Parts: sequence; C-alpha cells; structure tokens
Amino acid sequence: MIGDITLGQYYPGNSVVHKADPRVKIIMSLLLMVIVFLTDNLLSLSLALVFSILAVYASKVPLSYAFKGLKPVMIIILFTVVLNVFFSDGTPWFTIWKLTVTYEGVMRAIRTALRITVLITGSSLVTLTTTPLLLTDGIEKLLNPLKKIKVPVHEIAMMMSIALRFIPVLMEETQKIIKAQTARGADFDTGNIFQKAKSFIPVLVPLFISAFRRADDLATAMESRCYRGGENRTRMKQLRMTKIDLVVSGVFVLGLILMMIPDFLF
Amino acid sequence: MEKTAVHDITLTIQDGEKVGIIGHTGSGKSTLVQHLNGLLKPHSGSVTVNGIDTKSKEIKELRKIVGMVFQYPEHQLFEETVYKDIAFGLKKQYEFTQEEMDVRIRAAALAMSISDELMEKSPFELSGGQKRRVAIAGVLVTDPRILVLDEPTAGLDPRGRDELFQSLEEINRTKNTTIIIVSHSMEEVAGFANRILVMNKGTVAMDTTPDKAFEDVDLLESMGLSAPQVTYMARAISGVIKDFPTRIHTVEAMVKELMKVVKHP
Repeated sequence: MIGDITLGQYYPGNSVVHKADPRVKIIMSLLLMVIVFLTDNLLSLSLALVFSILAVYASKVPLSYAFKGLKPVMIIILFTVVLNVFFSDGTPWFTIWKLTVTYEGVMRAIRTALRITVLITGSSLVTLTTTPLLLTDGIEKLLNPLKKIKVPVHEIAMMMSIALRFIPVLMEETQKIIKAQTARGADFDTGNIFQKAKSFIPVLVPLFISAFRRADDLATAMESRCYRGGENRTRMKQLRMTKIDLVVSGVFVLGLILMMIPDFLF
Repeated sequence: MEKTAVHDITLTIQDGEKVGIIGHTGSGKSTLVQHLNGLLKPHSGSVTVNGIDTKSKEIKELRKIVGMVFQYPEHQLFEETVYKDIAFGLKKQYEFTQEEMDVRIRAAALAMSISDELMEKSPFELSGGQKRRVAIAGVLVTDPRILVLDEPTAGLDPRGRDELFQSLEEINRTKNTTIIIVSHSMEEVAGFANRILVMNKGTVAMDTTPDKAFEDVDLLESMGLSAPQVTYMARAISGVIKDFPTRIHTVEAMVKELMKVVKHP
C-alpha cells in the first residue's frame, strides 16, 4: 500500500533524461502541464500522452514503474469519468435506465482522464529521473528572482529537500511500526471507518515522536556544522547547461508545438 | 531491485528450546523470524507453528502463540503510561476482566523488573534500557508460548544485558517458553542459547550446538562472523599450555578452566 507512492522516489539511471539539467526538466514539465490544461482538443491531448510515454521510454525507467504513480489517483480519474459520462449536458447518445449518456460527456470524460494521466506521468518522470538534491537545487535556482521581494527561497528549497529526503525513511519506519504493533495484536483492517482510524493511533504516535526526534537530531547536526542559510554558500556540483540540455529542450519544444497545432487547426 | 531474502530453509524448533540466530548484516535473520508469526509469508514452502500454518486464517491465534519483540522499543511504545502500554496487547488479543488483566500486567512487569513507580510514568520519559524492558513486558503480558527477540540487547549497558538474559532464562525455565534470539553478538548467544543457527546469504549455514558452532572459526569468519573472544583466548592459551581445552565460549567457563591451571601448575 505504502510502497506504491512513487512521488519523490528517484530511479537511478544514466539516460539523457537523467543527465538533463533539473531546471530544464522542471520548466518543460510545467509547460507541458500548462498546455494540457489549456487545450481542449482530443488530438492534442493524445499527442501529449504519446509524448510523455516517449519521454518515459527515453529515460529508460520501466513504463510500469512510471505509471505506478497513477494508482493512488485512479479513484479520482474513475470518479470524474463517471460523473462526466452521466451528468453532462449535450446531445444524448444512449440511455441506461434513467441515466443519459451524452456525446459531449464521453468526450469530456476522455479528455479529463488523459489530462490527469499526462499530468501525473510528466511530473513523476521529473522526480524519477532527478535526485532530490538536484531537484531542489533546480527549484532554488528557478525561484531565485523571488529573493528580490524577500521570499526565503533558500529556506524553502532546504525544507523541500529535507522533506523529500525523509519520505523513504519515514515510510520504512511506518512499515516497521506497523509490524511491531501487528505482532502485539493490533488490527488495522476490521471495524468501521472510525475504529479503523482509531486503530492507527498506535502507529501514528511512535511515528510522530520519531519524526520529531529526527528533526531535532538533524537540526543539531546542521548547527554543529555551522549551517546558517543560503548566503555565500557554494555547491559541490554547480548546475550547468550542457549540449544535452539544448537537445532535450529542443525536442521538447518541438513536441509542444506539435501538440498545439491541432488546437489551431480545428 | 528485488532479491530473495531467505531460501532453502528446513528446520524444526522444539518446545522450550533456546535458539540463537546469528549472521552477518543482511544475512536474512530478521526476515526468517518474521515468518514465525506470519508477518511475512513464504512465497514457496510453508511455516507451521503449533499446528497452525502461517498462511491460514487463524493468524490471530498464531500471534497469541508467538510473541515478537522488535529491535527498537520506540517503534511500539505509544500509550500515556507504561501500565497502559503493557496492557495494549492483552486488550487486543484477549477478553479479560479488569482484575485478571491487572494480575497479568503486574506479572509481566515483575518478570522484566519494572518497578511500580515506573508503571505510572510516560514510556517516553524512560531510559533506553527501561524502554526495552517495557517493550518486552508488553509482549510477555499475553504469555506467548514462543518468544522471539530481534537484537534485544542493542543499546543496553552490560548490566541491563545481564538482567535481561536472567529474566529470559527464568521465563524459559519456569514456563518452558521457547525463546528465539536474533543477535550478532557471539558472546550473548554463546552464553544463552543451547542451539545455534548460523545464517549466511539467506540460508541456514549451520544448525548446531554452541560448542560445535564455534569450533570452526575459519568458517565463521568467512561468513563475516567470529567466535566469542574467550574462544580465541582459549586457543592462544592452548598453544602455551598443553591440554588446555579450546571449546570455551563463556567467561564463566574460562574462569573455571583457568582456576584449574592455577591450582595445579
């Protein structure tokens, strides 16, 4: 259950997508999202899906692994599909019992499903191919202009990288705690929703306590190394644009233009 | 990224045995013991405890029989007081009256030498050793027939360790409880267990008595393990004093043998 979350999990690799600059990847995925939301054309959306599958292919991340991120949102997709199919106005297509399926409804449902799929695949591809460190580094660089208006960019980036860093740790710990409490007779599967929620208290309390302890230890470790924020900090690995980034962004922009063409034509 | 953690294991553990499972980090010790109460289930083969297959639906019954204490007490302590925390397993697994529960909780606390004044404290205020004792008491309270402890002495001082082993010894003797200890400390296992399983690369490499297990030091070392320090010492002495026994694994036995030498030079 918990192992299905791929967000923030890095899939080691050596592909072009892995090597590309995180800034490029972030901007590209943002652009993809914007286009996917703006366009209403089915052909554009299908192209976007094909394009993101190709991108996954290029990254050499197994397709099934990249799509794993979809599992948790499957319910949302199904929900919107069902709602759209049955409760849209428009030309009636056929009727089941008292529910009328409209032509527009079906189209809208397909579009929504495609949109969510592309969104999730695109964004998980970024996190799958970028180490958390590089990712937050990229975000920090991209947000840098906001420093002018006193946004604590470095601190935000640091918090993000710490959060990302601790996702796998806390997940592993959760599993261990669940095991320890199960061995003592805790039961997480029976009862109504309130009893179920209550049954997680024996897991949540140790988890929170350990998270606070970890945070405390981390703060001590950072302070004892004289960490004091972003000013004048240098990095071991500087972000530099290379030829790969040029190629990647070139290919990407071409893909995006391709996606927009059907929108203008029809 | 997946690999087989344990494979090709066939073993039977009798009632009342004191089994020590040793092995290098990642040799599959913890994975093996988690099969005993059905936390993990074998992909192939079967595990049967007191006639219950761990794959069957009687998993609750199984967990009453097998008590399992994990490496970190912090992972299971959550109640407001030590007393309530020890009671947790009892409440979940059995339906006893308040008085019956109280008797059992006090008995478990006594077995782990937890004082009455500790019982009303929050488990988070305790020291590492106290936490571990509370964690073990929280498992002992249901009176399991089989007690599995994963690295029970990690983070304990020598005295706490001795006390823990004394308590375990006592439980084994009075209730004939089977005790299975996972450890990487040879000294601990040598002093306590009467049967030793050596795990290596996911399978049982040796299943024998401490005497035999620590005989072949080279083999142990090839598996990233070692014999207890006194065993090495006995070997060194036997190079100087003829007929000095080399099969010594505990400090007590060493003292005895040395005294013999001192008395009859």
